[in-house]
Amino acid sequence: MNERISGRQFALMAAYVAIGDSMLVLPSIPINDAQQNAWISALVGLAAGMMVVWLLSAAGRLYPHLTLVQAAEQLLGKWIGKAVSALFVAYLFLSIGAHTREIGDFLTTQMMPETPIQAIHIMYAGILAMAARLGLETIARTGEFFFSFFIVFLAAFILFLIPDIKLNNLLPVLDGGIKPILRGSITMTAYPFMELAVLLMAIPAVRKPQAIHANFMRGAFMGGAVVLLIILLSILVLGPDYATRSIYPSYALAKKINVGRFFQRLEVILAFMWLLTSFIKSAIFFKVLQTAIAQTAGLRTEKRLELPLGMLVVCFSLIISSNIIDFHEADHYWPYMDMTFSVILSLVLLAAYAIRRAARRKGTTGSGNKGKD
Amino acid sequence: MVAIAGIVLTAVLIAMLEVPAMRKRRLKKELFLFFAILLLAAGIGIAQSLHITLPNPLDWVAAVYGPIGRLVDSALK
Amino acid sequence: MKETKGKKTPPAQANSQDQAIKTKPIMPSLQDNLELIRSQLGNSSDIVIRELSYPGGDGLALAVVYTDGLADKQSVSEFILESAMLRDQMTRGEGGDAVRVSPQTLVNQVLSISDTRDVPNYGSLFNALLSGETIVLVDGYASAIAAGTRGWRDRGINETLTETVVRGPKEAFTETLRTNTAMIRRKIKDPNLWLETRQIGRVTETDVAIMFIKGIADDKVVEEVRQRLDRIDIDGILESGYIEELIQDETYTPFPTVYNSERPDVVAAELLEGKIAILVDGTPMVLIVPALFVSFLHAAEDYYHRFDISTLIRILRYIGVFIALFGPSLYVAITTYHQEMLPTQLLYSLAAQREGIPFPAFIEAIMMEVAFEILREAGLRMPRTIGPAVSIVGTLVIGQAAVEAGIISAAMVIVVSTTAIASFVFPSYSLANTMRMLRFPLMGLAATFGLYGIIIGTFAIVLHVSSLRSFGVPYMSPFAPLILSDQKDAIFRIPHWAQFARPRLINRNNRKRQQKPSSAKPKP
Repeated sequence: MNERISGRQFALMAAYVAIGDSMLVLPSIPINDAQQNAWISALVGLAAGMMVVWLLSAAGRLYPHLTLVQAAEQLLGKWIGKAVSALFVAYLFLSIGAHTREIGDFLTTQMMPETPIQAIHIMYAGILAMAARLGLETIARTGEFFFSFFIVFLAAFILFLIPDIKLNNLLPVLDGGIKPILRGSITMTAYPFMELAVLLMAIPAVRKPQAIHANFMRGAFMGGAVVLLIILLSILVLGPDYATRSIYPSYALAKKINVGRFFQRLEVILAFMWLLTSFIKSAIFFKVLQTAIAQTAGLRTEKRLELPLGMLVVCFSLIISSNIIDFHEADHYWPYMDMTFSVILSLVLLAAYAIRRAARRKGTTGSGNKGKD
Repeated sequence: MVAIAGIVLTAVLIAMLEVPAMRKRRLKKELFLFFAILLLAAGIGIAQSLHITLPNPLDWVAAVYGPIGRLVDSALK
Repeated sequence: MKETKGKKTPPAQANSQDQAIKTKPIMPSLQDNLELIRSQLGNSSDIVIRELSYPGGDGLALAVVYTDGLADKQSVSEFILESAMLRDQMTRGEGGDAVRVSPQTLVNQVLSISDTRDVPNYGSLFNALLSGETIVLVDGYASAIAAGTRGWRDRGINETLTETVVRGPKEAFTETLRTNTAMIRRKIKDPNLWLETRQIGRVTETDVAIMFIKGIADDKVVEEVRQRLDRIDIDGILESGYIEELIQDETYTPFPTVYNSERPDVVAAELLEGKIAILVDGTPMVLIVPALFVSFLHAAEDYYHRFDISTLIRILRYIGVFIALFGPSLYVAITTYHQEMLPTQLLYSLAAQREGIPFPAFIEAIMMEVAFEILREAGLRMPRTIGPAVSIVGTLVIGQAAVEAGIISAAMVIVVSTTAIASFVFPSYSLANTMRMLRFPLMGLAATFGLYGIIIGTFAIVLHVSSLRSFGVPYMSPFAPLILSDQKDAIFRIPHWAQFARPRLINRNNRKRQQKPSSAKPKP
């Protein structure tokens, strides 16, 4: 991989992946489980998530100049490594298909009901292919470019909602006990944080390897904080009842903005923000998918596969589910798939590394190979 | 009918765009994968427009992870 | 004297003769030389050959060749012919025999012209001759002298027509390379301002010069510029635009990656930042490289007015970019797909207007945009006398009539006109062209997919623009990659007394611009 990313760009990418589609889709799930205590779920999720990121960062830094796929082959041997990588590729692919589907669902239900969903998917996949073709650096720069807008819009969003906050909506606290809160925190840990595993493929691109850890944590935290904020706001402004009933609480939030008689109907700006974070996240996933396929199959060049992949994504995103309710059933088990490819994968890699190092030390009789890897 | 034509046309266009450059550089493995993915996508697309029900990979994921999910959910009821 | 004819095998058959001539060294016999010159130039009537020969075998025999119209005849008469003839008088020894003089002696002791150089072969001879220099040939010597007598009539230093300012110098470059380089030297008197000239263009042999400040400009970029210029192999360079297209980083982008300006102060400011200027003889448009997106939205005046008004006007420009790019598309998208976004009263009046219009908003927009582009192009070429009348008829009368006839809605006229006027906010014409082009695909996307289409289009544009580089520098810096220290001059214009460092990615070595804190500011 011959891309070069700065530490700050890496942090930004982590933030984008963490916010990703969570901003729109995530809030309703914990709110459904924990009602007005969903913000506590979010806090738990944030804490757990940071631990997950810490783990991911540790796994990634074993071989900072290798991608996840390459490290897997190095640590687990060629065949097991490739098998794991192939599974990872499948995971990435499923994720992209799911993201695309979410966008299609959102747009056809909320903003543009007359447009056929295929068209939306095709355009989305098209731009993902373009992004992958232009490379990770370009994606990072695009993210940087829009980031200031994102912050400004987010701040404005929050500011305009302050008059509508009803602190009562937080009560009663902890009435259902700890279990619903824990249940709600599962998706909060998974979607923003576990899906950051994808960045393990991008680690070799970072110019200064020593900057990886700090930026990884920083970016993830920033992204998680934004999601937490949105969940909090959803409860405070909409109240748990209404928030549970809407699939897209943040969109409902945006609709509520009514400052003077002018600043209404601004949910389009929210749609833009969400499309932005989703797009950057999907673009990163897509580029990583391309790299992963190239490295698993031992191809000489990474490029040139975007278009067929894009087409496959479109088709796939359409078979994924017949309707939107069905699709959201997946929230019950998708986090565990996320966990497999983030937590379990990292632990496996770390364990393999430790075993190898121990074996090496035993094998050599005092010839000082300790610092080799 | 139109949809199928569209899908085929898109596949052909994509091939026309990318294949010459790949053949010039003799990227055999890439070409193989390229066509495999392209044909798979086209196939799925055509099957979809004919409304043939296709196996849904999400179901497979559900089969693998569903039980865990249900377990955790019930534990935290 | 070895014949070098036919030694090279050049690409074009027709040019093989010319190529051989170019490297052929000067012949000793004066008559042979003159014969060759005459035949190469086909006895062109503006080439003047003045022979001086004196009676008595060993007399001074030389010839002076110049191009009428390109050489300054006064210099030729006074400094070359006169000095040569006087010398001849003085060197007659006893017996009235003249002493044979070599070209070297001529240069060292006789000719009082201000600059001379040696001409080893015919290639440089013709180049010098046709650039207005005077060739002095001495019989019996296999070398020639080119004397600097360039002087032709040019437009003179005028006010700039395309980049006008309210405050600031008003002079603009001319079509003569030397005048232009001199104007830049007037602004920057540092000996580190270096100038390198080369001839580009097989047929035109246009003089192209690079200017940069050694120590501030990045040497690697200078080298890259040199290499790119040397790689050019084309018949003729008539304008800097040719060079721009031939050396730019990416060909398939609507965005300009090379900046151009007609003003010496702008070029000097860019040189001070570490950029490199490329001057082309025959055009007042000087190229500046590397060029970033922000360069096209900066105007010279930003630095001459106070920082507060400059910052505000810059922000206005960025709003102008937004309107110029998205104006019609947003209008089409909102009125077609997202009517609920408009305040109800506006919606009523818009709906009322669109009532009788036979075309959908998109077609209406396209028609109006195309009509406006036609008007604009026509306006450029119209003779001065008809111009105003026709534009009044075109815009006011036809526009008004169209609205009243119910073919176009008034709102659309407003949108299109506002967009067009907003696009004149750009100080740089190149970028305005880009916006003109990009507007149409965005309109198409808006018409088919509404705001989603526009958003996707925006992503595509930003992706594309983020992938561009201009001579190695990312095009969108300092926005992406985000360089906070350079934000002081991107949208805002921080006061001069606070600008401590030069843009980071243009020059990595020499960044300090002034001492801090500024010593010029008086103590309160």
